[in-house]
Amino acid sequence: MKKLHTDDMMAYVDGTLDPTRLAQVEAYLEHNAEDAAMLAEMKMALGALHEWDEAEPVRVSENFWPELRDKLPAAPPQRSWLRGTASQLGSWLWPSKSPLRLSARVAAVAVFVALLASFFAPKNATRPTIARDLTPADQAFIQQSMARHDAYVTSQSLGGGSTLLRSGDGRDADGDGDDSDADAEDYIP
Amino acid sequence: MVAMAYPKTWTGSEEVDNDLLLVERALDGELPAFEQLVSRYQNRITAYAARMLNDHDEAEDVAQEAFIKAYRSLDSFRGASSFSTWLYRIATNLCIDRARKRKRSPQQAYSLDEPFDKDEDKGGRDVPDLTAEPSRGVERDELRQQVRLTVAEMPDKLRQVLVMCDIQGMAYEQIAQVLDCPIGTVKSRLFHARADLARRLRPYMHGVK
Repeated sequence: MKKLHTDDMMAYVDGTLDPTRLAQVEAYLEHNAEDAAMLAEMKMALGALHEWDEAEPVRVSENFWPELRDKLPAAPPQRSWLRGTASQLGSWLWPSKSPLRLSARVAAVAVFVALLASFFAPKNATRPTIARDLTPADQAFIQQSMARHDAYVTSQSLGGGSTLLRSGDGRDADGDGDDSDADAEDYIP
Repeated sequence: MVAMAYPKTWTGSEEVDNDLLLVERALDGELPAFEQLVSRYQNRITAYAARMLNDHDEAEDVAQEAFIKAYRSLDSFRGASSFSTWLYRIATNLCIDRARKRKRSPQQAYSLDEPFDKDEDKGGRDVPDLTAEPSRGVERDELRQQVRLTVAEMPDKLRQVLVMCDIQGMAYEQIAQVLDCPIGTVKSRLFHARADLARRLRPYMHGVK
């Protein structure tokens, strides 16, 4: 067996290895006394660390909050208008204690969204929509291209191809591979 | 407004959700909501600062300062991370600032050979003897003292992960969020911190279960 990876050593010390991997690591340690001794020392050192922490616990003094309260600014923290609006909207939609009220609100929002969508939807939205002033040759070319594209998208969806081509897949909008929203970072004061 | 009843213990996402609720209520001007947040995290943050700074009084100062900063900037907390992660990041930055200030204004230097009390001349300073014969058996108090010393003398970056993971029981993922670094970096630092601790405690470990 080749040299143990650090992750395995850490998991061994943490006691989080699955039984199969644990057996492999223990087999390795039987033939590698140096690593075995190091990990044994690490375990003992962590035991000593925990013992020290338990022997000298840290607790705040009883007047922690009164002292802190006196230091806080008199005015409550300011809320930006954007957060305020979002909060009001959120409190209208979600904190209801009655499931019926919540359902009614969700239904109302759904109806509103449907009305909005029908208002803005183009009158003739069925495909294929081709401008009437194109020549028959252009129309034929465009129709052919759209058919090819549809076939390609269908084949990708069935065959597990690129997720970016799947319609309705809104994941990883910022394209950095981590599904993160860079604008949602918390400011650290 | 009717105050909501909160259970005494919270776990996982439920705790995070309720932290967000408390933040919103605090932003509405409800000081008791912020008091609940303080009550929930005051011991953890103070303990973290105490282990980082090796000074309980200074740790309480840092914890209070962290809560004050959090209160003033509460509106900038968007919930991208958990409230506790955000608070730990604030506390970590404050601990780093304190450590820098200490370095800029070092305490009075002394020689280890110099008597501790010149007037009474009671002898040399009591320093843990790393070369002590292990077979003598080492008192647990001495071991604790050595643990405290080792943690205190560790580089900040190693101490941070050791305290958060092995003392406070935080997950690698949360530590990575607090320190704004990859999980691999957290694991690597933790490995070095544990190895350093084990190496420094080696002379004291024999004879101790």
